[in-house]
Amino acid sequence: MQALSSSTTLSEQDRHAAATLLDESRSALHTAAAGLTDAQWRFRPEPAVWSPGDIVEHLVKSEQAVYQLITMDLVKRPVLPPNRRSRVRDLAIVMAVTNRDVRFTAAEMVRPTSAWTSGPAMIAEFDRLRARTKDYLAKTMDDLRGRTADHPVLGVIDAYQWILFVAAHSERHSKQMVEVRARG
Amino acid sequence: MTRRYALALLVAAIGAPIARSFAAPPPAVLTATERDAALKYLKEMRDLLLGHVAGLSAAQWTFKPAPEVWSAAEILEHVTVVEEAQIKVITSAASRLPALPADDRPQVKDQVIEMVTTNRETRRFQTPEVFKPTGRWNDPKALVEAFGIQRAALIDYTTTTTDDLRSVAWENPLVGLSDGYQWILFVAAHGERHTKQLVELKAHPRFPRS
Repeated sequence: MQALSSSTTLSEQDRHAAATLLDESRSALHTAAAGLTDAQWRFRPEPAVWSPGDIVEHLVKSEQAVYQLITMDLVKRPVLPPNRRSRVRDLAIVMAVTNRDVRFTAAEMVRPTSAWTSGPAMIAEFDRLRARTKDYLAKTMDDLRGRTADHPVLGVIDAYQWILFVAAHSERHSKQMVEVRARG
Repeated sequence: MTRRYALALLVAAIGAPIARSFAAPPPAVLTATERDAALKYLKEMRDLLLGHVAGLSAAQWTFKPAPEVWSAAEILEHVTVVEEAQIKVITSAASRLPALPADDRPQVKDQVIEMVTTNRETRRFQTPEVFKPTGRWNDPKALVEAFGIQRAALIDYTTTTTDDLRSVAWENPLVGLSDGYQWILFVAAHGERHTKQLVELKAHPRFPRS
């Protein structure tokens, strides 16, 4: 019979590393979105190619979805024993997700639906949600290494790595936004 | 029912779930889909790399924009020595390493191998000393041939092996725990990473025109 797993909180190193990525990717998004006119926010280079507005809507939905997954689902699950935890490296999460040479179709629930009116308002909403993620990361005593969930692109990763994912994911889409801008 | 028979049944009933979680699943071979995907990747990346070194002049083979930047020859030597080493590890893994129970197998998706390994923007790495180029091949033709031989050996193994590559796993420095099949993908992706490096080198303003 396996011993009950003891819960551990995030190390300072882990908290700091993820916080840095959350900050850097938020800055990258702001830089990518700086000075866009309303027309530019809505510009789709081709029907199937996302506009800057579509991109930020997707990021808003993703930020919300990941936060809910962690705080409302994962942390309610039993803590896993050490040999059942994620065996994927943290750096691999970031490297995989920021690699735009490999492309994917977004999951239905986080796809943009043009449910927005203003680019700057969407950025503000993203900032609000990102701040909530950051705050949770800074303060949580939950065992985020001790819970895992199957990521549709990456496979099984732990809750802390889901936070790395959401940071790297916004970094990825900021690069996309820079490209879309250049085409407009 | 006799007491002995009942006891045997009880032991079997308790033993069965324990056996399921601690024993490896029955041996399996790669599926056709897995084999095809790995072969496609290995062959496409082989052709990509060979295409980029085809017809390079002596000056182009040895051009270095700076002392610490690898030449085309150094890039291909590195790829070749890594292939040599990894083939030995991969083709012996199923007989060297214990077959893992299902719960202990890597749960990272196969596509992550390529996603991580071919990303040259986020992070660069120092290769271990043993894989650094030392000018082992003097003649570019011999070097290209050596790469070809190594890649052919891995393609051949991937085509024919009945090893249960999903049942064995060992640590990959970029990805984390990866199974034998994923290590094959890694070799292809590693070649792809360095092909990107080669493309970048060839685009350098001072890369010799001939």
